[in-house]
Amino acid sequence: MNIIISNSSDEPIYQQIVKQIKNLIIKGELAENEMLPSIRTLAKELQISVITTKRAYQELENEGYIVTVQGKGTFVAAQNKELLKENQLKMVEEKLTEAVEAGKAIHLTLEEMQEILKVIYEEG
Amino acid sequence: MFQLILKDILLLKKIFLFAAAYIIVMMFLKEDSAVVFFVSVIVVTYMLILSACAHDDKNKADILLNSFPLTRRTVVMARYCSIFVFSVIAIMYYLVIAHILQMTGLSAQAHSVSLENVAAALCAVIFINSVYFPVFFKFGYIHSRLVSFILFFGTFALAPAFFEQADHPLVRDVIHYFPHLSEGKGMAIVAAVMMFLLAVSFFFSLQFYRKREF
Amino acid sequence: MEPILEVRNLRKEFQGFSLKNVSFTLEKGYIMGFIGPNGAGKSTTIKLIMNLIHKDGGEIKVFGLDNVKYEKEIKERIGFVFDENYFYDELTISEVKRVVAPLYRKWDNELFHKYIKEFSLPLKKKIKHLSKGMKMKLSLAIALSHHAELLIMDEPTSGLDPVIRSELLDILFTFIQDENKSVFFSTHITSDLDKIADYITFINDGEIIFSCPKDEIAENYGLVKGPKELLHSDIQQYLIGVKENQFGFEALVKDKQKIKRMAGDNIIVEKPSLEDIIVCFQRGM
Repeated sequence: MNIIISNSSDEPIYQQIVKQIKNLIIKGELAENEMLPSIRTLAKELQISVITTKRAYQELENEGYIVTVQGKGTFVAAQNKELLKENQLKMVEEKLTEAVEAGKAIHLTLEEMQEILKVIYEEG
Repeated sequence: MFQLILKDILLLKKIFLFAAAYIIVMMFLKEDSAVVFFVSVIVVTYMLILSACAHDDKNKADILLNSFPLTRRTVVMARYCSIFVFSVIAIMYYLVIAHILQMTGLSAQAHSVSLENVAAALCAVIFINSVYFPVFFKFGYIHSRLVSFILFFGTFALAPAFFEQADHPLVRDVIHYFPHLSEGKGMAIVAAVMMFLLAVSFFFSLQFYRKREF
Repeated sequence: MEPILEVRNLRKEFQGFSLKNVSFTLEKGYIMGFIGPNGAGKSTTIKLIMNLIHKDGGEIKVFGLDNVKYEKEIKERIGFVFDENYFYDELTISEVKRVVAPLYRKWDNELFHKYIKEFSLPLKKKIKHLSKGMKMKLSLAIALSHHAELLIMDEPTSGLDPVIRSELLDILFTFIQDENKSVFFSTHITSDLDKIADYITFINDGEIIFSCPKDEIAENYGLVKGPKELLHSDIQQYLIGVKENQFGFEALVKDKQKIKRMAGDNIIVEKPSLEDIIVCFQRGM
């Protein structure tokens, strides 16, 4: 599991962590029931305050992404399959929106865009 | 508390060597073994105690010791105990060196030591430090150096003066009082007076040290 | 759960300086940075906690116990690392251990030797031949070897190079993995705290200006930079430590959202470092 934070970004560190862990879960890199590092371990490794990691985990738990079991640790919550799929689809939509806007800016037609999409999809 | 005395002993290694040298020199310089003993014990004890206090001052022991689980009472108590520890060491030193010198035949006289000699030396040591320590605990090492100096040299200046005044009625009474008592009783009275002096001194030292701010 | 360190309405008067109503709390499991300019009262506060000086009023509780009444019990459980002298110059490290170890009920000899090895401290060397960094590490080794629960550190990194300072931070991070332990770290080298501190207590001129989670400071306080005209506007009363140059001004504000609303696009608001905060407060309102 990779988490990289920026100290100089305007975005609060806890939010960066929340975003990155969310992404890892949505992408499936963090599996259901997989154990997450403790807030203290995370704080130590990232060299940040434990209050920050606590807050990040709190928010992730509030949004249902992770769950803390007293005495055992913190785990990736059993994801609501539909919600997960929905979030993953949302991510695809967001990326495609970006691509479409970039294409429109240089006046590509729908056909030209589809061509590019086909090449990339078949390549990967 | 014993740890504090151990600390002093570890720090005073060099002084022990110097003390031995001092005693040897004294033995060769002076004839009267009682005087040699008396002076040696006082001087050696003085050196040890003052060096220990100097080390504490140099290393900011007041602050350092405060960070350990030691009460100020323990710190003061350790100093008072060191009076006995160091004077016993001084006496042992003397006896060992005297013995060695005698065995090796280096010294002509037998430097024998009587119980009265030991008592007299202890009294002087106790007296000097009973006066010194309250000053030390109130003002710290640097500001009490003058007092220790005066006490130390004062004792040596006064002792002969005391004996020169042998004709003075009060002095005569004091000098004649002791031999007339049975040895045990005389010792007991002297011991009691010294203990009392120590207790009063300790009381004041403790009060002063407790109130101090670092 | 009771806090590990609690200071309430602490008062101490000297000639020309006084500590007024100093209050803050440190819970178990966290690191609190104690910052302020020189002469602000940091050392005085720590001396009061350690009972080196006597308070004129207020309350200090460590592990829930009064710091004067239970002085000995408390000191069994704390480790104190301070900047100036550490130990007797003439003693070797092993001699120091011989003197200090029996003073603690919970002394762990194996642990001590583990730290000696980890910190590469030469047992037979005299204290006076150790570098400043090694002396600090020795203090830490001793503090950790009696299973101290609270580390109180008074300017432990002054005069140390960045490498050692970073090593110290690593040691503290490891120490704090145990959520029953805490660190109280007084320093004017705030860059060390920017990373590690959970809470920051800022003292200035004998008074506590704030005591809060470090993240909150970044969220509320802001370093404002703007044109000089704004100095005569409404926002002036909120500016702390204004510094003018030929082309504009710079100042600290407590509530950056408010100032952003008031001044809008006319200003730039940046995240203040702890150093910025100290400097601005020292410049004054």
